[in-house]
Amino acid sequence: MRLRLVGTPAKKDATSPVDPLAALSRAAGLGDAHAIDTLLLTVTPAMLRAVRGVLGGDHREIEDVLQESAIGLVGALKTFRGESTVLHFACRIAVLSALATRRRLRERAKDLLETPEVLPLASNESSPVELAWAARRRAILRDLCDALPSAQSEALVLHCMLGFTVEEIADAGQVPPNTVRSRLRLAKEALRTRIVADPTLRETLESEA
Amino acid sequence: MTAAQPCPDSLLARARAGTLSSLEKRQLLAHLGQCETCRVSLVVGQDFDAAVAARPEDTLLVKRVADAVRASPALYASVSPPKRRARPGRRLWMYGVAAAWLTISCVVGAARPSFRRTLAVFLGFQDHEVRRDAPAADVVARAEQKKPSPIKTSVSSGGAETTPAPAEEPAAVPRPEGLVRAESPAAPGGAHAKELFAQANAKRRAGDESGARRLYQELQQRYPQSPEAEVSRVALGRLLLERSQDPKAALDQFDRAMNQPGQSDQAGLAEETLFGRATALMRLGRTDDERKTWLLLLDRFPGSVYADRAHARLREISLAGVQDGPTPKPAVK
Repeated sequence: MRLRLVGTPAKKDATSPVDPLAALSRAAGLGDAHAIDTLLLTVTPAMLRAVRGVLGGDHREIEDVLQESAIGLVGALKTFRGESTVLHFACRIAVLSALATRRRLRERAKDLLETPEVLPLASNESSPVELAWAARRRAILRDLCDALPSAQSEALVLHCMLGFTVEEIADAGQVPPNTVRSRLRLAKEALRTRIVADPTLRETLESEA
Repeated sequence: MTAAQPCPDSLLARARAGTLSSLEKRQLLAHLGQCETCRVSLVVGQDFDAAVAARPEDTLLVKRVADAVRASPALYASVSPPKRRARPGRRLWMYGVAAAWLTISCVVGAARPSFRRTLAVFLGFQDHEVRRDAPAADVVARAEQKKPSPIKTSVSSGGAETTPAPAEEPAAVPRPEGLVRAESPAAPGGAHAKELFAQANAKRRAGDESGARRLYQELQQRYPQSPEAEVSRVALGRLLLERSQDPKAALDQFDRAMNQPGQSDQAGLAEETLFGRATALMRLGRTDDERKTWLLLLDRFPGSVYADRAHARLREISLAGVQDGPTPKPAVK
């Protein structure tokens, strides 16, 4: 049985799965140019998804933020000690960069922040109306990220947008799992309040439940 | 949500990843029945799963970013290992090597070609020179200006008819086509493949389907061998399939992308191409070809993001037991 002290970050044990990118990240952290290249090409697609989630699918700043995040990742590898997987570590850096960009843009020019989201290409499963509702819900979550405290925004984005578990968020941020749970509870409650305040979305939610 | 029973956030995340056991599924369903907050969280999470999926143009974007990071001075400042102060003796030795290197370079550069080749081979420079020269289209162009060869004509016409030159002429050694294609050719009018591609993408994002379609087609006609044209076949295919509702034209695009398997693999587009092709075939009612394409997708990319869709569709086809009539042989191998 595994016991974990309340209030301390999760520790890796022998049963933890091996991170396939660990060796590559160590070599990259030592300045191996080939390792840096390989690592970037491996993790940048996941970082792109994170940035796209926070800024919106077709935001004009996506490429700049992604580049900034990638440089940040390479710089942070020296001090990365493998507390989380490299992929989660990289995604967290991308999320934090994108959230910071949102805040900066919000302060600079409120009206220019949201680039209207182009609906994803229609699929067989979703009608155009359902796609429009989904886009509205995504916009609500992004707006909420600007209003919540940074730590709650980060937890909400990592969990809701990227599907991280509580343990993965705790490992990536080096915080106790119970702290993550508490942040998530508050953030999710705020999200629910905003979504159900919209009568149409509330109705769709009930139909999807 | 109750005070006694905290929300199973990790179960919610794992439900989206499809890794729940049947017991965990029952636990989660029971919780969702009484917790509106978690229902909202799950629905919004699924909205994002669909929205942040990979796009055909991502491959180029990722490559651009990786290139930019590689060229960034900030990168070297952050990861360079700590520099040790060189000892005076060691520094002198390094200066000596550098001076010798410079002298040899000057001699090699000034020498006659035959002597230069001999000396370069002797000093082991031959491979380095060939590698350095090969990808640089401008260097090749300069060399060809000095010594006209059949390759010059074929490269400028898109590389479709590369004629090998005599083997004994080092300047005219046939180069792999990919090296020439790596540089997007510029049009005499000033528009580049990259610009055309960016304009087409902008039109597509703005909802101007006909404009995007026209630009993608122009790109493919003017620069058929460019990397942008490769990607545009998949992008245009999806546009035709899902916005213009024209599966026949979309299939044509996907087939053209499939007919250059090496290139689509290289650009990471093969998975997207197979998915688009299978969907187009489904819309056209060519069930047998569709089934083969899904199977090929699963065979080549077992961990694909489209694997669930492929399995589901294969089940539907199997349950329906539908076999369409004789169909043309698929382009995929």
